[in-house]
Amino acid sequence: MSALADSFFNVEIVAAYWPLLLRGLGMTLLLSALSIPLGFGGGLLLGWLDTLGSRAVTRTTGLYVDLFRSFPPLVLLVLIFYGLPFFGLDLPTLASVLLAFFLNTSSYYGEIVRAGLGAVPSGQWDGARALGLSHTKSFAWSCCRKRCAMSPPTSPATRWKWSSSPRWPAWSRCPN
Amino acid sequence: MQRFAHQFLDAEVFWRFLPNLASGFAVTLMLGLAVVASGLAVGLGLALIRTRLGHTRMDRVGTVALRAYVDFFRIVPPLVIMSVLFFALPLVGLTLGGFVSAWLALAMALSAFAEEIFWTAILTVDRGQWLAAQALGLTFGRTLVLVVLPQAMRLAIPPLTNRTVAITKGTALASVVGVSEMLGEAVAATSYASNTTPLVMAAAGYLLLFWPLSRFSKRLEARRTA
Repeated sequence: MSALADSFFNVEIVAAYWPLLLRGLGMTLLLSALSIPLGFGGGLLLGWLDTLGSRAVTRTTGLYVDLFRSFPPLVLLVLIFYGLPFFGLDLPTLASVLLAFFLNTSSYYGEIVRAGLGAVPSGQWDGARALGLSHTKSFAWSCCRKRCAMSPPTSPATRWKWSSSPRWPAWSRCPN
Repeated sequence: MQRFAHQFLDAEVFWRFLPNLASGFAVTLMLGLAVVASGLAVGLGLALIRTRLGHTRMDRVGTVALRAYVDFFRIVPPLVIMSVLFFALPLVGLTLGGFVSAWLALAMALSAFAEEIFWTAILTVDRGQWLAAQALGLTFGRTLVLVVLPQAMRLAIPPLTNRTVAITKGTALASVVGVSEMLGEAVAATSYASNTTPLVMAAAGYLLLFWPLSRFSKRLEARRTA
């Protein structure tokens, strides 16, 4: 037990290394603060493209999502950071990291947005059109709808909905 | 272009390291299948348990415990859990292999995410559906299986696939606990050959692994929507 404490909860080590970890935390926060909004924006763009109703566009976004979801981020990072210079494109470190994360994150978000819009009843779209909203405005409206499954807890955007969701109705527990 | 091909698509390096990558591919595939099967099953089980939890004191304790489990494993990186399982448990007398540690850590992470996804998907099914099923005399279990889950799945499948792919790619972390899976083999081969071709091979391997999964989930989703 003391061996466990010694190698996993060692106070001396904590005292010696916490500034290093703190610096790392700063970098993590910076990268998250940049890559999450960028990725989410990209995901929204993908979802919007998907609603345009063109087969070719839908195919392309599907390809994009499947491709960049499958790549391990490490491979993307290496390909971009070490590969692009061979084509004469020398990105600074932070930019290549962000590009790699953007490709990866936006593909995940794109799929979430697409799935969420799929759950919005088509009547909502028709209604928005009937009110004279443009396609893009209808899209934005649909994204904010209650039924839109941006709510799966994977997305922070609608975390509020989850936390304020009603209690499970009591009758559902009654055995028939 | 010539130099790019030499650095990233070298045929000689490709053939030299193909056997290593292939065995890594097999390990990744096995670990991935184990993680997906157990993680999704446990996640669905937890979500179903949650539908049965109500307001009594015992139920509240259950809800708190469940949410603690889910939040903990969503927040803590699988790598940390994996190394604690592998390096710390032997110190208290319980030795797990690298494969088992990796499997447990990833499966618990996936189960936590899957529980949340299944649970929200179940919540989005309209209350009227429950009432109608009740009015038709279906039991709670049958309502869940025949009415609610089929509708919930339509919503759950895309984020579930997202999570499944993301967590299964986490098998790459298993190299930390001494499992020679695909990305670990590729990184080793890359430094051994001073050439990044093995990494491209690993990328191709992951595509080979996840492309069918993506296709399959799209098919499943299309069938549910139709």
